[in-house]
Amino acid sequence: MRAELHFPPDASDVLRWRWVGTALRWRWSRLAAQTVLLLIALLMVYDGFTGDPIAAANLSTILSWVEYRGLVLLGLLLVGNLFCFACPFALLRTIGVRLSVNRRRWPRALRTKWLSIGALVLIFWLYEWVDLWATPWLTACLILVYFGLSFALEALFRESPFCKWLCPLGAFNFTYSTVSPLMIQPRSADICHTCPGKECVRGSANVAGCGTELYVPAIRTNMDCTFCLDCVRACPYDNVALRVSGGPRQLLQGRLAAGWDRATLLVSLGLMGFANAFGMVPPAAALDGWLASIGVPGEGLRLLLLFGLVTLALPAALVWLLATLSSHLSGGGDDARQHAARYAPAFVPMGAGIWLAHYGFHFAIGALTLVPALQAFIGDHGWGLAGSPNWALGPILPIEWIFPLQVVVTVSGFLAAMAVLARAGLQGNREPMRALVEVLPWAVALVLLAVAGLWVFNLPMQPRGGPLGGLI
Amino acid sequence: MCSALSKAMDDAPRLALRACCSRPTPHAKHTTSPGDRAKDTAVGAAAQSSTRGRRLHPAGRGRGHGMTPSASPCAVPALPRSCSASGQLRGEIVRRLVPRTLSLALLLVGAACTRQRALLDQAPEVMIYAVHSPSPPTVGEVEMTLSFVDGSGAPVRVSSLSLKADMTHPGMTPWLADVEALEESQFTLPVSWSMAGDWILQIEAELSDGRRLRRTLPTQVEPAGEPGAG
Repeated sequence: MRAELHFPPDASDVLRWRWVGTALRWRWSRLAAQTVLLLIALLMVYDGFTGDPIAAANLSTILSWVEYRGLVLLGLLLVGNLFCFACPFALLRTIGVRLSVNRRRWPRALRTKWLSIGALVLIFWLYEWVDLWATPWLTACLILVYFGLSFALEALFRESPFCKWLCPLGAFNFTYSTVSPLMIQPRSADICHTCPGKECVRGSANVAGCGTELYVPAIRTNMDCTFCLDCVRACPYDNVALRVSGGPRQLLQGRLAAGWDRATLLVSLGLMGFANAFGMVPPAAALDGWLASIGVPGEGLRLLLLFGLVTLALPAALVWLLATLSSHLSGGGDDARQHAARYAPAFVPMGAGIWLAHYGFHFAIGALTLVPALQAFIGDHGWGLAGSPNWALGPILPIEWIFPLQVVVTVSGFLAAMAVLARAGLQGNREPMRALVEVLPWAVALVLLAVAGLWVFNLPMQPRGGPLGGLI
Repeated sequence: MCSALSKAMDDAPRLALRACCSRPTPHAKHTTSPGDRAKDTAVGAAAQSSTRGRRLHPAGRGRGHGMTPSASPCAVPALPRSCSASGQLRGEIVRRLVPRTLSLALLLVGAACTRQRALLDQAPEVMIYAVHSPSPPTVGEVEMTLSFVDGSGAPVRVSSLSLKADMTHPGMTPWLADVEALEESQFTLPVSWSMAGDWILQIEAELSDGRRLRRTLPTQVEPAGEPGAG
């Protein structure tokens, strides 16, 4: 039974839009979306193991490294955390919950984003070392690992620890959904305050509550929100809205980067964007060659050194250094941790710009390669419905547009980052001069990152690696 | 096969979701720690006193864990979230999921066996040599000479040839060429390498005797103006 309360019309609430709102509020909307992605994931695993070993013709690699990465970023920047909403791993996870006997709380020591950062570093290192992008069967294995870990952790622990503390895809999506326009909010905070049931978190008789235990009126950013909309369906007052009111203003919420782990995650993902693009240009191969020439053995170790340095050690050191410097320059008052919480979110739009420039490049020049790969897949099974594959299909934008667009996207990310820095600096009625001094170290770091990103995008791409990965 | 696959996959999540909906009732045994329970009781008592006489919750499912109106919206009481299934339910899930999963696996194995790509190479004794000029090839237009020979080194005539070069990264623009009615064993053609890096050249040919073959040749392309030592 739902309470009939009157709310004034709210055009910004997507859940009240005629068709979209009805579809989203439908009890099975997430299940339907998850089922579609589960079928796609199964198709990827199947083709990864049995299909063409060449990445350019295999659905597993095309869907993972071209389509998913482009679409997920567009979804995050234009709508919200759509992938987590439709995450197929969460579907098997639900079965894990039901098969569990006595789930425990996730250990307090592990309730940190350091795990997510570690998982991201691991994935990006493997990506470069074993050439995940070139190897369909390894990509299929990765998908199975995601399914297995999600299932096992959910069966053993409460609070969706896989999503919240470990999943690298989730960490990426959570981080960049903090610039997404859509955000869960209460329609009336007063109703939440007097609500005795807190069904949005605990669930009701028929609907599960928030998997990551977010309480709707306390939500200030999209961080940790999987967009499952269970809170919407569970609320007995119909008091949950999905408003077009998120956007970069979320980055001004100090809680987003509260703690060194969260601040490092935001900075680290920005640098990972750079490192991931850098891995595909000639200087990366030259650097690898130089390390080999000075006696560092094994490509895996060399890449671990390079990527571990750029994506883990450097961001952690950078956050601490910038925050300490910022705190020192401001003349005391707030400590370094508070400075990190205030200014580290500026790396989110910068990182989003670099990721979009990189993944957008692959999506723009290769989105249509899915069509011939699908035709070949159908043809391989003896179904002559799809005709012969047209391998010339690929780009959705003229190639000469790509670099100018990359520049626009990177510079836009940089300008948005500067705007976030400025707004964060002036929060709390700080004097402009003091704010300027405080943000200076962060601004310098962002300028360097933007220049590094533009430098990489200006270089010719030179992918190295083979379909057998580095394992064979 | 398609409908069977869809049905099998549709059933699994539906079963899981139905199971998930069996939330703990007010009489269900909670699995919170003693500390959590004490906290719950305290918050619950406060909620009961503050909401006395004005029942806000339409479904009456408060279970005594509400918050006072003055409480911070950020402070969510520790909540009993027992999601563990009963042994009977677990048994039912296992009984229903295992056969379906096995059926799906069998279906996929069956489908994999019908794939035709592996059957394509009908002339395993034929060898193909590719020579680039310059060597190694550089970005731009390069001449490539392909030679088809059998195990004894004798030339093998080819009636049609289809070439496709892909970068090892998916989604990149391939180089494509089709040549018909060659009836030769060696020929030279221009190849346009658009990017430096690792490529895979796929050669699909029909021999004069009607047999078909498919080979892949890894090819490393150097940046323009940087021909390798070879």
